[in-house]
Amino acid sequence: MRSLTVFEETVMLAIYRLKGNAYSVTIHGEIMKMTGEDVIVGTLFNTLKQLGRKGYLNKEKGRPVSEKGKDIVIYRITGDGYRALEKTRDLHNKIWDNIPDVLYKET
Amino acid sequence: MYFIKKHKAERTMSNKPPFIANLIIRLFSRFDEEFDLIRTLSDIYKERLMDHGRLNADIWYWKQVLHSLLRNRIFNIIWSMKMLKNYLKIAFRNIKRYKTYSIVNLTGLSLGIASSLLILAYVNFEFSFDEYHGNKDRIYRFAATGTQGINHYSIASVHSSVKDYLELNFPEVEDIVRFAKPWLETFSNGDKKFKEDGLYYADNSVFNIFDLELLSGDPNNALTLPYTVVLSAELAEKYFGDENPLGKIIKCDDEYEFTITGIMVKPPVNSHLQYDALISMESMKKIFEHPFEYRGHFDWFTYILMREDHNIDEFESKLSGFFDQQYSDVLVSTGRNLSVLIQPLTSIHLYSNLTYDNPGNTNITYIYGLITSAVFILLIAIFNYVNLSTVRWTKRTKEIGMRKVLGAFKEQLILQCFGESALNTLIAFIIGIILVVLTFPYLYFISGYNLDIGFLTTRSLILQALMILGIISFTASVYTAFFVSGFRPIKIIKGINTGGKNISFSRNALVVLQFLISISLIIVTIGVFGQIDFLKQTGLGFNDKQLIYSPVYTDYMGDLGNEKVDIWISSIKQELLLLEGVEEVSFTTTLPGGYYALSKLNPEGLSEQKTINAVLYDVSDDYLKTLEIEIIEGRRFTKEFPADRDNSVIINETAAKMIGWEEPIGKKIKTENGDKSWTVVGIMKDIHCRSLHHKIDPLVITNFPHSHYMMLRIKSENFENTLAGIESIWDRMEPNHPFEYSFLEDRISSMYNSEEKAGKIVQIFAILAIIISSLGIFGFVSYMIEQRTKEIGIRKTFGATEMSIACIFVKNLAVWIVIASVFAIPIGYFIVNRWLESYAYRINVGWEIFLLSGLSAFMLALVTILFQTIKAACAKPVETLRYE
Repeated sequence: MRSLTVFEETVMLAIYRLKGNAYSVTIHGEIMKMTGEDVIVGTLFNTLKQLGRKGYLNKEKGRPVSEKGKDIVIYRITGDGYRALEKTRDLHNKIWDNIPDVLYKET
Repeated sequence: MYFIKKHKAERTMSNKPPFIANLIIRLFSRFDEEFDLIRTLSDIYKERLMDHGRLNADIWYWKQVLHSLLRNRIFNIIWSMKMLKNYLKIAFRNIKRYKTYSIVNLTGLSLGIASSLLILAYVNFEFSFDEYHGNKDRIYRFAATGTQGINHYSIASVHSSVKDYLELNFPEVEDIVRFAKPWLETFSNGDKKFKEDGLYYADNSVFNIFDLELLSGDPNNALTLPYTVVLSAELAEKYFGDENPLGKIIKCDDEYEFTITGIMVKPPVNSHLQYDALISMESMKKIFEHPFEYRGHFDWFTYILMREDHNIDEFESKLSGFFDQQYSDVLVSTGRNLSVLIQPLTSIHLYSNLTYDNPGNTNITYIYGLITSAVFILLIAIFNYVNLSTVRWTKRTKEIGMRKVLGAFKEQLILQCFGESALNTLIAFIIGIILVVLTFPYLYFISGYNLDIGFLTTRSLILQALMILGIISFTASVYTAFFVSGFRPIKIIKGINTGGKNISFSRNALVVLQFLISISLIIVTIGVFGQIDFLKQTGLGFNDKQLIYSPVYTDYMGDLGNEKVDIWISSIKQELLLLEGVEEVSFTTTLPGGYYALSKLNPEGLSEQKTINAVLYDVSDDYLKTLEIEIIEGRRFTKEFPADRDNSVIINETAAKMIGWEEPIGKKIKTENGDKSWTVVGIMKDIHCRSLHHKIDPLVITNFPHSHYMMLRIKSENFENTLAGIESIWDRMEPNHPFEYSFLEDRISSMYNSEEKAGKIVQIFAILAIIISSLGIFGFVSYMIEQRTKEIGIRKTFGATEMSIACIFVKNLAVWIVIASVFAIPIGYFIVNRWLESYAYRINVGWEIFLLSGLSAFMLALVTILFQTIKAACAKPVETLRYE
C-alpha cells in the first residue's frame, strides 16, 4: 500500500471531518476551511475518482439537498482508506522525527 | 446574440452562473452522472453569491472553468504537438530521402496547379466584365435579332430614334444613352497628329448610367453642346502634355474643331465597351444630318437604365412587334424582319454572340472549353500524385506496421497520411503560385488581354484558389489514406506485400486514365491543326499571295460624280500599271471574306415569285484577272465591250447550278423589284465569299467600278521601290487621303484568328498533359524496376539478354498505351468532329490521326523510361544479388 499524496490526504481528511455529509460541494468548502485555498473542482473530481478506484472511498446515494435537485453522491472512507491515512500519518511522523520545531534556529 | 442578451436579463434576478462558462464546460467535458461539474460548480456559486456578491462569484466561476479546461486539455495539446513534430519530421525526411519521387511528384502537381490557376484567373477575368458598374443590374442593351432571306442575323445597334420612342412611351425607363462609331480618324493638336481608334459619339447621360469617372469637367453638361469632346486622361496627356486641356481645342481630321469639356478615367479592361474619347451626340447631328433622318441606319448602340422596381420581362413583352410597327418601311425594302433583343449589361461580353457587334467579346463555349481542359490537367496531376504516393507508401510499410504495433489508431494513420498529403500539396501549391506569377504575362497568348498582375490578388480569386487547394489535397490523399490505414501489421512485418491485385489494378487504371486524357488531347490537337492547315491551304479559292489592297474614300469618289470616277479609275490604273512590279490593278466594293449581305435576284426563265439569294459584288473589269480566277464559260469583262459597264454580270458555278439554266450565257438576271436587269456574259469558278464555316454562296459580279477598295497584284523583286512608286502616284491623284495598304492574305488569315487561338491553347494543354503523365510513368517505372531488381538479377544469371529484360518493361507500357488508345480514340473523334461540325469544308478525321497520336504517346513514354530501363537491364547481377 502506497502512502497518499498531500492533496489526496487533504481530501480524505476533509471527508473524514464531514462525517457522513461529504459530497462534492461540502468537500470543496471543507478544504477551503482547512487550508484557505480555493481548489479547482475539476482537480478535486479527478482525485475523488482515483481514490475511489484505489478502494479508499465508498460511495452511497444521498437525498437531494434542495427540493428540485438530483440525488447527491456521499463519500465515506473505507477500511483501506483509514489504513492508508494512518500509514501516511506514520510516515509524516517518521520523517519529521528529531526535527526541531523551528528549523532555521540551527542553521 | 439574442440568447446571450436574454440570458443576461434573466440572470440579474436569478442566481444562475454565467451562461457562456457553462457552454464551454459542455463543449469540452463529457457529462458524468457522478462528477457533474456544472451542478457542483453552480451549487458552490450560489453560496458565494450570497456571501461575496455577484462580481466575486462570477470571477470565481470563470477561474474554475478556465482552470479545469486547461488542466484537462493541456496534456492532449502537448502530446499532439509532439506527434505533429514527429509527423513533420518524418514527412520532410521522406521528401528528402526519395528525391526523385518527390521531384517528379511535386513537379507534376505544381504544373497542374499552376496551369489550372492561370486558367482560373483568366476565367475570373472574363466573368468580371462590366461587373464594376454600380447600376449593372438595371442596365440593358437594346439590340435586335431577325432574319434576312435565309440568313439569321442579329445586330447590337439600333436606330437613334429608338431613344426618343422609349422616352416617350415607357415610364419604367429611367435613362438612355446611345453610342455611335464615328467615321473620324485622327486627332491633332499642333504637330501632334495621331490616328485614334477608340472614338465614340455619346449622349451626356452616359455619366448618369455608367460608372464613368470625370477627373475634371461637369458630368451634367460635358457632352450636351455640339463640337464638345471628353478625353481620357491618357489621351489628354498624349496631346497636351502637362498643360490643362480643359477648354482647349482639339482638331479632328483637320476639319472639325472640338472643345474639350472633360477628362475621364478610361474604362477598365473588363468593360465590353472601350473608348478613349467621347464626342457629344449633338456634334454627330451637325456632321452627318443624313443617318438621323434615314431610319435604315442601325448604327447606335443603345443602353437603357431601368427604374429600380422594373420588370424586364414585362418590358420586353410590351416591345414585341416594336420594329414591325415602327420601322416597317425600311425593313420591307431591305427584306428583313427584326425583333427586340434586351440584353443585360453583364451578359453582353460572354453570352451575346451577335452577328454585328463591337469586337472583343468572348464566346462562353470557349470559356467552358478552357475550364474543361483545366479540370482534365488537374485530374491528370492528381492521378499522378495518388499513384506515386501509394507507390511511396508501400515502401514505408514497415513504418506503418511499427506505428500500428505501438498502438497507433486507424484514425491517427489516416490523419498522418492526410497531413503528409496536405504538406506535399501545399509545397506544390506554393511552387505553382510562383510559376503562375512568372508565367502570368504569357497569359496574353490565351486571353489576348494585357492583364495587370494585381488582378491575381482579387479576393474571390484567392478564395477559389484556396478551395482548389482544399479539393486537391483532399482528393489526392483520401485514397492513399485509406489504402495505408488498411495495412495489416502482421503481414507487413512478415514482409508480405499487402493490397495485392486490387491495388495494382487501380494503379494501372490510373496510368491508363492519364494516357487516355493525354491521347485524346493529342488527337484534338492534331485535328485542330489539321483543320487550320486545311483552311490556310484552301484559302478562298483564288491566289491570295502578293495581293495588296487600299481603301478608296467614298466621300471623294462621291464628290467626283460617276463619269469622273471612271476617268479617275482608268487614269490611276494606267499609271500604276506602268510601274515595274505592278501586275494587275482592279477596284471592288467588297473584299472577299469581308462584309457580306445577300441580295434577292430574279433570274430569267424562273417564275416571277422565285428568287435566289446571291452575293452581289460591284467590280472593275480586271477583277477576275487580278484575283486569278478562271472563267469556265463565256468571257471576262473587258474594255472591248464598253456596254459591259453596269449591264453585264458574271455568275459563279454555284449560282449557275442553283438557277439551273441549260445555256446560261446571254440570259438575263433582274433585281427582285425589277428596276435593274443584267445579261450574263460568263461563268467563273467558285470562290468563297466568307470563311470556310459557310458553304460557297452563289455570287454575281457586276461591272460597276464605284468602289471602296483598290486591289493590286505585285510581283516585284524590290517591294519597297514599287510601293514608293505607287504612293507617289496616289498622292498626286488623291491628295486628300494617304495610301494605306494591307495584304489580302493577312486579312483572310485573320478570319481564322479564333481557330489559331484555340489551336494554340489545345496544344499547350496537350503538352502539359503529356509532360505530367510522362512524369507519372517515370516515377512508376522506376518503382517497378526497383521492386524487380532481384528478379532482373536472377533472369540475367540464367542468361537473359539486356534486350529481353528491357522488353519486359516496354511490353507493360505498350499494353497501357493500347488500352488507353482504345478508349481515347472514340472520345477524341467525338470532340474533333463536334468542333469540325461548324465548318462547311473540313478535313476527314481518319485512322492516320489516331495512329499518329497513339504512336507519339508511346514514343514519348518510351523515351521517358528508356534511361532507367537500360540502366536496370545493364546492371550486373553480382551487385543486385550480392546481399541475398
